[in-house]
Amino acid sequence: MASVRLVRVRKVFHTPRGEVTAVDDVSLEVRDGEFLVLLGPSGCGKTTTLRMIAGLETPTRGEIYIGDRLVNNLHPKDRDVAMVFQNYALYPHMRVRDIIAFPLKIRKYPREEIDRRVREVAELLKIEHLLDRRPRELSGGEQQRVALGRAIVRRPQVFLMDEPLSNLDAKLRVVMRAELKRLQKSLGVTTIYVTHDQVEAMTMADRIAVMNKGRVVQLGTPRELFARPANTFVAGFIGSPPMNMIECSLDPGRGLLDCGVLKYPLDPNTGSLLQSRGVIEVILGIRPQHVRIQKGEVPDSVARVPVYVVEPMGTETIVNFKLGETMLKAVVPADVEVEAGEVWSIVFPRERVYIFDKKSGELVA
Amino acid sequence: MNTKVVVPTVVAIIVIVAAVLLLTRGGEQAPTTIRLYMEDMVETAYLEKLLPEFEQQTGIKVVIEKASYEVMREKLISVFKSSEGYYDVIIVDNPWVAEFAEAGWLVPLDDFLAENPQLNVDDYLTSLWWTVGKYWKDGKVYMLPWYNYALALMYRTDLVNTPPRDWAEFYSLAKQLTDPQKDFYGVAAQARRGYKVVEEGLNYVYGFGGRVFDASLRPVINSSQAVEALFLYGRVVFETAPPGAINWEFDEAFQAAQSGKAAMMITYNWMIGALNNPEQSQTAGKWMVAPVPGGYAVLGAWGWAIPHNAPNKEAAFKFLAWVASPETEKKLALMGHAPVRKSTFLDPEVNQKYPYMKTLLEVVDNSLPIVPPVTVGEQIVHILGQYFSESLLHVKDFEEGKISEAEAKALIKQELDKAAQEIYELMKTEGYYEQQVQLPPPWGPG
Amino acid sequence: MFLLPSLALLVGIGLAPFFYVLILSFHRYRLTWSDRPWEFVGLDNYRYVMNWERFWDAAWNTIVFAVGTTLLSFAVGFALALFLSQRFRGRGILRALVIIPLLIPPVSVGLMWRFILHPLLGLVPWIIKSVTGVTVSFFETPAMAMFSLILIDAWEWFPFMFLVLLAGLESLPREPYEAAYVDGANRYQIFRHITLPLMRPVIAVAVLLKFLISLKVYDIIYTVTTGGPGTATETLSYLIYRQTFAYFWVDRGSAMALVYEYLIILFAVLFVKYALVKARAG
Repeated sequence: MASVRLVRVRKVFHTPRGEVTAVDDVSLEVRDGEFLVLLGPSGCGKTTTLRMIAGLETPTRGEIYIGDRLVNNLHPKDRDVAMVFQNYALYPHMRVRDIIAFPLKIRKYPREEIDRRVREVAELLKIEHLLDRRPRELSGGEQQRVALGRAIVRRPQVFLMDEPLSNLDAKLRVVMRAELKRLQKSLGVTTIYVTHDQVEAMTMADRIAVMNKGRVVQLGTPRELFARPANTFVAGFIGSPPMNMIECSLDPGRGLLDCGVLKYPLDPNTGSLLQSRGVIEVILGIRPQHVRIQKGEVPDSVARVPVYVVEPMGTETIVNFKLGETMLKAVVPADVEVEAGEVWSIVFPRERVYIFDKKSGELVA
Repeated sequence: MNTKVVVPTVVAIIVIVAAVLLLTRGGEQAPTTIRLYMEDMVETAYLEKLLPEFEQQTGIKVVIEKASYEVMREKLISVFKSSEGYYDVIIVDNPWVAEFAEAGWLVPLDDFLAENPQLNVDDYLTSLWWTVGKYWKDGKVYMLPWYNYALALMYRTDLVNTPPRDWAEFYSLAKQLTDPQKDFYGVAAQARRGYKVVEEGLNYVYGFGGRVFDASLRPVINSSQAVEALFLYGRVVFETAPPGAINWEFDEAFQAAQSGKAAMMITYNWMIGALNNPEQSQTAGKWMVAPVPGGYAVLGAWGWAIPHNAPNKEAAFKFLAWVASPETEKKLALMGHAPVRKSTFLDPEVNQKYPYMKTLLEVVDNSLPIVPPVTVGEQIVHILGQYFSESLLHVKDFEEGKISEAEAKALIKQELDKAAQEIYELMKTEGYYEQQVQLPPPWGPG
Repeated sequence: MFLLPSLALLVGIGLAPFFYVLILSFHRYRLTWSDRPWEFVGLDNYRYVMNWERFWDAAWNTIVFAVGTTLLSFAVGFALALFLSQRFRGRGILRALVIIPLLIPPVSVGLMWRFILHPLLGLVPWIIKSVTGVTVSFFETPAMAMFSLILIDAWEWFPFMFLVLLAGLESLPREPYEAAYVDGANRYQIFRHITLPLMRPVIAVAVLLKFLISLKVYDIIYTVTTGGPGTATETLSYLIYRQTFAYFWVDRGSAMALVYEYLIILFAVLFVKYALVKARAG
């Protein structure tokens, strides 16, 4: 097993339309045995980062270490990493047995050893009955398992997974999510997992590195990211439905944030903190789950507005309020009866409110 | 571009052009045009230079379609077989004469000759007249000789004092002159299977006293003279000719000769012109011509003919009367044309320009066609070509010490037996042995 | 199944001349016999052809030639396709250069090579002589003549193989390559385990096409050796051509052409059955 370390890695692609910086100065340390997720929207550089670790791309600058070895100029076969591709990239002309055996075969393992390991892996992944089929005779989920099998069979130091679940249907994805995590824990192999799905990231990762525009914008455990998003990007990316973001400006005189219809009274400490930093324009963030609503008048309500739309979800209900241009969502238990048009009081529990600098997007309080 | 504009524009242009063409055609008297089908070679070029004279005299326009030798036979037969016809005048190579005449594809010229005594057929050399003139079987004239390609010996005057008289002399001289270290060879041979190996090898056979047919048209190519001749021919090819000459055509041999890699060459008599032409030869001025060793040469010749379905026979006759006249031949001969008339060979003006004319006359006089006018001439040439080529391979084995001289000759004899057998069967199928035939000179007595 | 419509089309177009040739092959008839009727001779022409040693010699020569030129043009074409499917500067120009031989008419190819291989004036013998001191004659012996013909034909046809195989290579999926790369395969292993098996259907089609085309070779034989020395390089098309269009024996020519056609069809069927079906399954 091994750790993976990226030091100020940069990747620039030369395209006919000029240079494109796909990965910009990324430093990252993946601990031995850790399940690290690279999370971000498409084009954020997460796949390129993974491909550099695999050896499919060469970094323009910076260093990549696997264990203690600098691997920048190392052929993939000498890096001892295994990769699971988004579309599985199974060898279309081979039988499952040979696909899984391939990494061992080209390393000239003895036949018996290969057979034994393939059997073990097939058992582990419950695909013994598929060994004599070819990829085109397999379902998406089965192909996924074969791709995993090919990665596992070699017992590499690092697993690299590039959106391995994105081609599966929603139901299967949930099942595989759990299985993949269990497998990783039981094998204990350092894993770097790329996805754009924050649910996958939250449920599977030991730590998540959120990437945006080629940079890592925050690195932390799922809990940390959820509890203390470093900026509006992370805040908006993690959590479902996404965090409510309301543009406000500081009114130092009255000690509150003026958000149009909505007025949020600041506690004095926060007020003076903002003032001392000269932050006037801010973004107020609160997760829909944390917004409290009440039918009657409440003393500490930030606003009283009519309900715009109600979305019942079964176990819970999403209530939408229209605040000027922005929509405010609140998640309430399903048994709370809300009708569109009714006027409700909205309450923001003070400890659940995030205040971001509008200019930099960074969390202030 | 927009197709909505382009299509109508194109249509309009086509309509206008068509209209203009139709109107102008109707407006004036279209001149009579005749079409000639000829081989694309130097003789045709000479003729083209002289054509304006004919066109001015008669008002007949002449269009020459030129083709390579390889496609001519096929093209001619497709024209003969078509109901409408296309060419008015054609040229025919001597192995095809009987075939075309007997198929009824050529117009007999006897009446035409009677009306045009100035053409004086007695002026043609005998060997040529019976090859591409009068057809021996029915006594009718189907063609008028055009030019000859009898084979002769070319030799470098700076290396050879007196040209060899017989083939044994030729071989020993060639061997003396050969020096592979200096890339220099005695003979630029051309022994490729097909016409070439026959055109060259048959000279040896004739020189040794052998023949392909006897006077009653029985094949006699398997004679001991022929065996000896081909054995010597093989020794010349493998010992005194550049390597690879067994696959050489005229082009390769000519290039080797003109670039100064060979001292002698057996080729068409009029090639002396090209070898001494500085534009075509690096060794120009060093060549002289002599009769082939052994004294008896292979003759080839082309003749003029009119296809049975010629669209404009009247104009075709006029052209024939002009092109075959002694006056036209003399003008052509002064350009380098290979003559067919005694008067041209002996003409003082021609002799002044080409001092070797008398030698050429001797060459053509003492020559025998590659094959007599029979209906399977082309095929006989190729049968000979194949077995001559096989015979050479036996000499090759002898040269490499794989077999003895006696063994090689026995094997050559076997090949020639096969050739004679195939020719015999072929001739029999064509009905030549159903009655006694007597060939005219130069094959038979007469 | 996919062959059926094209087969129907082929049969439709080929049917009329086919019957003409078929009927002709049971008669005695020469093209110059304008007024003589066709004489029915039953199987005589076939008997003649089947017993004619030269026909079978030519058949053997044809196969030797076809196998030789197919293998050689495939090897060169595939090597070049592999090389030029990689990305590097100047690739476009090289690709264009490779195709040139295809643009030269076969007759000119023959003439050109006769002079390139000319023992005294040709480029190739000159190079060999300057390096080894030996004068090589490319048409001296039957074996050399056949070898040289194969060389010339393969030179003319390798661009065709190159184009077909390059198109095949470029249409291969990228993913298996990346997977194999990460799985630790080196260049040779990737070629052996990924490229080759994935290319098998394309290779099978290219080889079959070239083989069938080679069986029909005529122009190169005609311009370079005319079937010699002896009958060493005489192929079936050449033999049939001479019988039919040079000697005008269209009767025997027809019988030979039909026997030849059956041989070709037999080859094609066997090939499709074994090589192609196996390639598709594999």
